[in-house]
Amino acid sequence: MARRARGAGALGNLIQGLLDLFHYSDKPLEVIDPLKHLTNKNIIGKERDLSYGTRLTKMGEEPEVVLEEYPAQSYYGNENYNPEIGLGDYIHHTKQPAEGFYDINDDIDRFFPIALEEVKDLAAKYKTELNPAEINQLATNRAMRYAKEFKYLGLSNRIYRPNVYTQFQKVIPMDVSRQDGSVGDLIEYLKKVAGE
Amino acid sequence: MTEYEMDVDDIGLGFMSGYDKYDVEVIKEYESDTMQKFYRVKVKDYTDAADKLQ
Repeated sequence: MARRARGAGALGNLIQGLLDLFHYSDKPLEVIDPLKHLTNKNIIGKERDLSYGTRLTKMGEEPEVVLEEYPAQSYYGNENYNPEIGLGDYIHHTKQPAEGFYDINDDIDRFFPIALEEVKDLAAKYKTELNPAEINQLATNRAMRYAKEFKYLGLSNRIYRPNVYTQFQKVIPMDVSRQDGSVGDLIEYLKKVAGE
Repeated sequence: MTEYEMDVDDIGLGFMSGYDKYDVEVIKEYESDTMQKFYRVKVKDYTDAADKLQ
């Protein structure tokens, strides 16, 4: 069901400037919530690393200054995205306006260089030694946050991963299906959505 | 020029690509414990404290 946007439907969306986006999970979701992703204690490792703050002041120094720049975001694939095994059987479908996504390769608003200078200035202000990779990571996260503050729906990475998008806000999926096409407990999901 | 390695996700990979002062080479592609794509990249960083990207 979720993949029905291929072909004629996809062409129609293109004309309207809409993207078909798909979010994968191991259970049906009524709402795709970016915050749930990062607060899920089962998620460890790299995803959580992205969201960790970086302390600029020394331990015990008040007031404490911690840079927490990474904006929570949910990941989506378009109709050409080939999901990795293990992402989850449930496919959540939504349509979003293509113009709402900030292409970080173009960076037309120059968020990254602005963020980079600000991170360097903050490190100098608090006399914190950050290595180049830390500076780069903080600047990337800060630039993402600027895209959110400028009211973009999310981010795209047209050059490296043209089939991947993120969204900053909660999304209520238009429909949910399973990768194998079965409906399974989707009926229960639909009842919930309908308030039955 | 400074050379270093860092881990980035699908999106983090993109910001540097728009700027000439970074050369980015993906040296390893892997999936995290939640099956999200990550990349270990080698960065040649031609910026410095006095240098502006603008």
